[in-house]
Amino acid sequence: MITRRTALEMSAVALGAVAVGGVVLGEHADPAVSAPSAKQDAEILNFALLLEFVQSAFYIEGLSRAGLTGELKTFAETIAAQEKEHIAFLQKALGSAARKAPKTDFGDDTADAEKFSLAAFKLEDLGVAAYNAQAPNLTKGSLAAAARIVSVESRHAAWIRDLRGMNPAPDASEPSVDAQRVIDTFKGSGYVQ
Amino acid sequence: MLQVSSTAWAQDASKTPSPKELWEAYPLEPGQAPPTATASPELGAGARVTATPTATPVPPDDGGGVPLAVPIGLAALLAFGAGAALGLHRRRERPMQETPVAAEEPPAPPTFPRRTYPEPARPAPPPPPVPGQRDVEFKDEPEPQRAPEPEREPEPERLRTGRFKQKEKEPH
Repeated sequence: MITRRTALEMSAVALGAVAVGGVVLGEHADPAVSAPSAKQDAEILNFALLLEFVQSAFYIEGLSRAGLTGELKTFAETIAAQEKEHIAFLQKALGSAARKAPKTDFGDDTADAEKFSLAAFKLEDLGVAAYNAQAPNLTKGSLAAAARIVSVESRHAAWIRDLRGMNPAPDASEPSVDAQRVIDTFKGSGYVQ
Repeated sequence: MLQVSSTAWAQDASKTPSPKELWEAYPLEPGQAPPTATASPELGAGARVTATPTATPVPPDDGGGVPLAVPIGLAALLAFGAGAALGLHRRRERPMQETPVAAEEPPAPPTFPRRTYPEPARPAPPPPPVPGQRDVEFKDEPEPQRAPEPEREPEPERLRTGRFKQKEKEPH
């Protein structure tokens, strides 16, 4: 016959086993990340489209306002044209789900060449980070489409880094930036009204 | 325990930079860990205390008719929940513990060293002709190339007249 004391001791052992089981299960449970889906693709690509809209508007305003000359002007002209193509590419991929162009305000960041250059560097670097951060959340088809853009965005980032006298390729692999941090950083620019 | 946890999270949340600060500081230099809202030691300690089995004083056997199944079941649920919480906490901590290892590496220099190449014994061959057509699938018309730089021919002048400063790369 099992006494109450024995039962309590057995219960304590069982509780310990249950707790250990919880630890193991908790450590190996999959993170709550929503699986790639068409709906999620649309959300991610629309954020990419927002970035492209902002970049395109930034270069257009910079070309007319910042008094760019030399290679920086060539850079801005080249990138402005390519960002327009990115917009068209993403709009085609999104179809009717594509968002509209936002209202933008770049403040003093297009007032002169130096401010323009610094903001362009941040925008391009952040664009690369944005695509990379969302890559695992895209379906295969959308990932392939995004890959065709992010590689070009990376060249943009390297070019403006070069123009600013910075290392165009500072890392062998792109530093991982959390997707929410990318969004928060982009919000911090205040470019989208 | 809940009070300790919420206080700890509140303290960490205050360290989280605002979007404006993130934009101003972007991008961070290599090796400079971005401030994130992470579980503080207080929170970790709280969670550990919760999951640690404690020696519960056994009440004297009074012979009463208290059904053991109810408290044992509740205790099992609590223990499992605490264990799962601890497990998730440890799971979240794992990549954060690996970060300092990578951060110990010396930060990459802001500029990279540029090698100077010896003059070629004979003139370099002329560059290949510029292709007249690029991938038409993505671009409607070929992008105009940069204005030709005569000093690039017959040797790669840009390598020697780049805008980067010579700097020895630190060994990793």
